[in-house]
Amino acid sequence: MTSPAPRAMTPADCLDMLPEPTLGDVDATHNGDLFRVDLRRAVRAIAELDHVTESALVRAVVTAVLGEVPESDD
Amino acid sequence: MARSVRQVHALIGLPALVLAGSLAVGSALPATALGEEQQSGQVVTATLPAGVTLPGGDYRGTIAGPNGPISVIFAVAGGNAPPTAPGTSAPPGTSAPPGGTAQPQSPGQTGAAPTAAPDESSGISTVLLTILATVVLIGLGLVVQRKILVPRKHAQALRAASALVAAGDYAAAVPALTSIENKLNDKQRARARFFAAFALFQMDKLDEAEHELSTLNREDPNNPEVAYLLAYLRNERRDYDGAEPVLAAIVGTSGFTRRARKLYGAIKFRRGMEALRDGRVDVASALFADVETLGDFRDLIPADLRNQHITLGAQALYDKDVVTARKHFEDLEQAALAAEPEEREQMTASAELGLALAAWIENRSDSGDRVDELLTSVARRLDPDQPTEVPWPDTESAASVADRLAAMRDGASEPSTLDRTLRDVHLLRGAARLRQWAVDPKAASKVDSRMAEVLGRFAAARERDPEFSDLYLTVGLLKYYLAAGDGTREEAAAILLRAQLLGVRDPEVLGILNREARRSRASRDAVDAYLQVLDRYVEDGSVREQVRADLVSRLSQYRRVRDWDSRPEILRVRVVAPTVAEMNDRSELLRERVNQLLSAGGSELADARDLVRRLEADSRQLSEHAQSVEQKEADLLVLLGDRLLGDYER
Repeated sequence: MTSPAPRAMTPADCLDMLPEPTLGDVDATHNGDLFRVDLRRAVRAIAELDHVTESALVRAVVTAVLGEVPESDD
Repeated sequence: MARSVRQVHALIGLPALVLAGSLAVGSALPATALGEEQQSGQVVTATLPAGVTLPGGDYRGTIAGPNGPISVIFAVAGGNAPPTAPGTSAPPGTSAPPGGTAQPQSPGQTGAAPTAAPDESSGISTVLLTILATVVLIGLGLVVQRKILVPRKHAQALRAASALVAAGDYAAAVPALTSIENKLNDKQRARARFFAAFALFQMDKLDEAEHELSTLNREDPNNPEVAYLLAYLRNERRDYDGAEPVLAAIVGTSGFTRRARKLYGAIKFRRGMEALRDGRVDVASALFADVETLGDFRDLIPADLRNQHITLGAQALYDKDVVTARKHFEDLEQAALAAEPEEREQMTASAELGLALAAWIENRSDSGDRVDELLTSVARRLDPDQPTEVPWPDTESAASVADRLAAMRDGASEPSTLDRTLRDVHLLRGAARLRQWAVDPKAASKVDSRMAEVLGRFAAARERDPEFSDLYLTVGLLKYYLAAGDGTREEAAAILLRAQLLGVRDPEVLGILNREARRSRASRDAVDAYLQVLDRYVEDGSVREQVRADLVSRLSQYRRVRDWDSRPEILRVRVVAPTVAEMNDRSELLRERVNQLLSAGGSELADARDLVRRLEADSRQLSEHAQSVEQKEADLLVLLGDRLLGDYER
């Protein structure tokens, strides 16, 4: 008894040889484009809170309390 | 395939039937008698009665024709049948014309009555049938050759070429497929072109592959494999706009497989991101809604991007369009009322967050309270079990760089999405309180309670993300500038040091930290210098032993001095009574060293400076008293000399 001839290749077989489509280079955690309008991740960006503005806020408070920001005593 | 088989059978069936008929006529020929006029082309057929046979041979006979009797010769093929006796009449129904008689005739006899009339057209029919059968046979052969054998050969060639593709030998597959392409039927040709395009794609010859696939796709837009490979190729080339419509054409068909759906979702996702980059938020939002529907990459879409109110509201906030933003978030708040309870909380939290940010941007006089109120509600909705304010820790454990690296090695991960959101919510609450404080005309009053209010919010943020540098920067600066004393300032410096370790590069912070470092270094140097002075003092034999022992005892509370009371040199040193000059010299040296130490110290060493001044005064008085003593000694000696020597010499 002879074994059956191998099945002819089909276009679907070709597609099976391709890797599955992914979003490999889309880093869902750090992609700024993606999360720019994600409100919960954009709080600081929308409020424009960064080291500069936070320091300025503190200096404004210190000025309001002490009249001026103490200078360095170097 | 079954259909083609049926067609071949039909093609074979017709000529086979004709041939069978032809063979049937042919088989009747041995029973056919040819008349004398055979040469004239007429063939006469005589039918013998049932059970009668004639041996092979020629028989003569006469046929009564319309124009008189006709002498004929019957030729009977074969020789195994006995001849019929002469005079036997042909049975009724023979082909002999009416009135004619067929005379059986022995071989060599003539004049026998014929049983059939000669018929030339019958011979012609036989030849024609033979020719027809031959033609049919040839045609049949051609059909078999063309429809079965050649296609089978080409199919085998296609199979061999596709096997090269399967084996990954793409360089050999492409010419093999191209060489047979024109010999194949339409279906096979399309398949060969697909294989060739696939091989080209695998060889990274994308231009050629795309050209071939585009042509195939134009010819049959519904071919799912062609559509998939073309979209796949364009996706690889980041031509998302070109890829999407190719797959859109097969959506809803049986060819829109799980694989195609996934690719379609990936392409939609990337188009959405492109739209976001271009600021086309509404387009992005619609595309992400499609991704959500397709399902495969749903988890990669941030929750807020699934809702157009949030996306468009966020964009309006970026644009400082508070009115539009507020409208979107108020609409979202309304929409939340109709949602399921869990979803309602999430939607409401997003709405309140958006409204809080709108109030922050608007920055009106009552914005601080409004922002804090909304954000506190957000925090409670997102995590009802956690407090919204906690005390800031009293002492700061300054983590070293090594500690931080170790923590990273140990997998100290990024905060979760929830923690990051709540961290920023509490940070913004603290910032809102700071902004409110800065514009308060009575800012200088109730500093402690205001400070606690701000620190409580920042500490809540710290609970969510202990590695968030902004918190240490803000709290450190605030505590440093508003410090009531050196202790608080040092604590603030420790917080700022942690901010620096976490990445803060603010020049103001660096200046403060440098200043604190210099102060610390000077302090360390002063301790060393003091210990040297102390060391020399306790070994100085001109100082009374009791004084030195008492000094060490009084300083033994300090670790650096604790074991000095057991130092043998204190007791072993020979005690000598110092001269006044020695005391003054010793005192002057001590004051000079102490003054050097004091120059590096702070205001808290004022007592020491005062003591130095008093010591200097005492030394001066001691010197003056010594001079006075000496003067008085001299005066006394003079007085006694005058008295004694005067009496003696007189």
